[in-house]
Amino acid sequence: MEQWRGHLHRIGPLLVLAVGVAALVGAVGLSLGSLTEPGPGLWPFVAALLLTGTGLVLLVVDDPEDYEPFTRGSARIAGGLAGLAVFVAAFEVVGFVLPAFLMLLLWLRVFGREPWRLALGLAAAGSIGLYVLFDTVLGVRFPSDAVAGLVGA
Amino acid sequence: MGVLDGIAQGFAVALDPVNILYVFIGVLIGTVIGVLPGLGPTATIALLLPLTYEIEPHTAVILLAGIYYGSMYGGTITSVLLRLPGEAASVVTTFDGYEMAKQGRAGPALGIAAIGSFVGGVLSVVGLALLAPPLAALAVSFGPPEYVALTVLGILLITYLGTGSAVKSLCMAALGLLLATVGQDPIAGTTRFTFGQVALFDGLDFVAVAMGLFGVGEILHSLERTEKAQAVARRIKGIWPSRADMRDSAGAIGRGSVLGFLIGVLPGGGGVVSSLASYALEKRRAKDPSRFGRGAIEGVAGPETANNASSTSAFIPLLTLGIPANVVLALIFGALLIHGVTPGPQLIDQHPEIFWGVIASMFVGNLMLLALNIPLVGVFVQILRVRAGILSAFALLVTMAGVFSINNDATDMWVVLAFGLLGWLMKKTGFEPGPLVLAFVLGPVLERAFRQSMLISGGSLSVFVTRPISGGLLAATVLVVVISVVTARRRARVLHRHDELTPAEGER
Amino acid sequence: MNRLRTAAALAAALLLAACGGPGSAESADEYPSDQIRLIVPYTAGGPTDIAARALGRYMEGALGQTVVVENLPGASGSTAYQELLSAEPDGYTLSMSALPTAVLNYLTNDVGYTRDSFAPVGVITQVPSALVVPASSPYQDLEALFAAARSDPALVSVGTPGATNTHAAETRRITQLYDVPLTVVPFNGAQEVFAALLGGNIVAGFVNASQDLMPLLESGQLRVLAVGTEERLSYLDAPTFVEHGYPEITQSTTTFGVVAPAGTPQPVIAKLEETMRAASADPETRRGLDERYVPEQFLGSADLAALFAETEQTFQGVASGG
Repeated sequence: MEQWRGHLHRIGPLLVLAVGVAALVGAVGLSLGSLTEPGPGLWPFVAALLLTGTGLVLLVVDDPEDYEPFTRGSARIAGGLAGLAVFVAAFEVVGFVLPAFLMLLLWLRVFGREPWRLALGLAAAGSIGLYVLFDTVLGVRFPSDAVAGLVGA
Repeated sequence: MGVLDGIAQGFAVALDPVNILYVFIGVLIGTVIGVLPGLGPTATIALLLPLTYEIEPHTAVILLAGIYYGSMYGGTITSVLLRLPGEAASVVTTFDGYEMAKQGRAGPALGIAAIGSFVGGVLSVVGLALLAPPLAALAVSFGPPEYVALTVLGILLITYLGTGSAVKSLCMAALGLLLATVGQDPIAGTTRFTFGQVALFDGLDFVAVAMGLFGVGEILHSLERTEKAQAVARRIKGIWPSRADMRDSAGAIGRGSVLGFLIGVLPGGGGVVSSLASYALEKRRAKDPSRFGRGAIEGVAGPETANNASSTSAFIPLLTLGIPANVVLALIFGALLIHGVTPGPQLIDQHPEIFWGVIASMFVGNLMLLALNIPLVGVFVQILRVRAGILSAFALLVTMAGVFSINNDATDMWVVLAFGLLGWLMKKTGFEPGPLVLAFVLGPVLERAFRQSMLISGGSLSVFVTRPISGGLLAATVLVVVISVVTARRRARVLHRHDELTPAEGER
Repeated sequence: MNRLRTAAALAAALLLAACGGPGSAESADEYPSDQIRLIVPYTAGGPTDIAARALGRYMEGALGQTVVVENLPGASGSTAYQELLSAEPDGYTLSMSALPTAVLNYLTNDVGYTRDSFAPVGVITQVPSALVVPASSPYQDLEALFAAARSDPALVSVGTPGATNTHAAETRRITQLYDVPLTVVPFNGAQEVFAALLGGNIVAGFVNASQDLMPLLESGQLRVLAVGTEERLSYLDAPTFVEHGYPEITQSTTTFGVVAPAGTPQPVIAKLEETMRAASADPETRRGLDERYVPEQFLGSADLAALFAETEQTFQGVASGG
């Protein structure tokens, strides 16, 4: 277990390497042309080559000091990202206000540990305030809003 | 008409009460949208353009120009306070600005940025009045080979900027170059890495990528700590830059003005390269370059000054040749077209009230921005007293709404999300986002220019060295490499001799 | 927020989506009874946007309903066309279109629509294109330029505003049809082509003769060698490609028109077509559109449909690029 941990930091360069190799393959598929008559794939190929090369170097020489260990707090990140994903997906269907309210509530109450009353108040004020700012004042065309539609705004 | 007469006429226009009002509205809107992450001058001007159809053409340009340079001031605020750069040129500001904020020195960072922006803006306005025609000639003399040389120099400077290992910077720059190839190939028109998604035809949006990597990545990272904390752990020390801060920054502001003014004239990438070049120059000149990236005030003052100076000189090709240097200026060009005024070589003779009026209004507008921003610094710094949880939640939501507004497309929100995840992972693994986003901006310019050069020269690589400007720039690039290798060696030797205990740190 | 209200909101949203706008069963006499969305596939301030707003203003007066001009730039127009085609074909969502770009678009890439997805309404403006050189260029006319190209195939570079647009495709057609070796150098927009011409970095440029070109011609910094129309233009002192013996080179004119999603009721299309016909005769609208570019004879739904078909046929072979 300990031994395995010691190599955990190599995941970073390995990921880089994987992306680099995948891009190399993709670039070759786009046709490279030649240096003086470059095809669409040449430039991505050069970039991918650089990425793969640096990935290889890092795999060997990288300083483990650079890496922060993953903690139990990392699970909160997954929750935060999932919350954001739900926000975006819901935004496309029911507009801004409701998803914004729920997202603020999640972040304020669960992640920020604010008291219920403050969290609810801020979430309501924030979602409506930002809706007015963006949609009404700045004229951004959000997807048609279920909540604002109800109020007739 | 002489320059003095022109300036007199310009001020007559700019000091007209209606125009003063519009300058004020412009810089105010600019500041507000600059402060709202994601919402940049491009989206705002596109939204407001129809409202300008009813007003006088010079007033319309005065308003739109005010929004543009006002947003340059405003963009600094989020870069410093929340590590959310709204546009490419303020990415560099996050390096030291956000560090300063974490050390409780957000006030001096914002203060010096406002002062630097003012000095840069005003010097650039003066330059614009005096030197516009010769600089326009410089701008068009930059053909594809010159852009290749310029962007190669720029990308080299990127890898020189970071605080960590140079290999890691290079690695991220490579990733940035690769990500920039998503979308339609600029020369053949075939699609690359779009996986059949029409939303990806135009590539990834810079603002969405930068917001994700920097701001959202940072917020996610802070989520890992479970304790309730204020955004800035330490006490806020002083709102204003101290006398020592001013002394440290004076040179940086002066050099930044010149760099920003000169490089900003170049369409496509001028603004970014000028702030990069200013940062690199200050870091190179510093007695102790290791302070950079850890809250060096020159690292904020120089690039911010260059950034604002370049946003002013970017008007030169538009006003003298009718060639807009970037998307925002293309919108202003459109606004003039709608009024039946076509910017071009004759603009200065046919519509002196526009040419000189806009120049004079920029002077007035910069003055207003200084007056507006200095007191606002005190207000904005208070934002950091808000608990981190509340600040993060709102910053995220505003970022999402702002990013949506760029293209009215929810795809960009998913891009923010994906790059937020990447930004967090990079933070965990010691990779820096700066090289990635800057290479992302410069990469397409380099690729297009390289391929255009090959087409024009019939496939001869000698075109890059035989043309004086590109040859000179490439020579400068080689010089930079040689000097930094030599000094790095020397420094390493000195370190080795004097202090065996100091861990060998990345020299660049 | 209580749960009931949330449910109600969701139900309302679903209902709205299901109905797809106001009164789908209304007759053409009642059309329009609600505001009309006019999508512009390009940014605000561009030529398409300017045309759309001038037209929109007229339509508001004539139809008595608000016309909302909405810019949806991206993917050379595909973003806007996809948005248009996802809307109900009821005449309340229209889009500007630019030919041949719109056609080249679906010929080059799989964008999920074809010619049959659109119901053409009519043409508002037509902007011809011009082959221009810097004032200092040694080539005084088209023949001199093409002769130079034939004697040195790597010599003549022609800047175009994009990689997949008309001008690039038409330049390649010159090479294919008449064996004149020209190197297409794509730039990002006409402005960059102008800059490259002024700096002497390219030999020639093939661009739209739109408002932004005019000041550079008037100031004498650029010269026109040929225009890509059947007949000479009243406002440009230059011969046509046809006159020079290149009768095929007439496909580069950009046609700005209005399209609706296929399936829009015929009476609604007819009503819109009539409104556009009237608009192109209205003096104020003509000024807004720039008189030079308004066709002398109004081109309606059938004409635009024919143009679509013709353009598709012309560019079928060259669209894939070089």
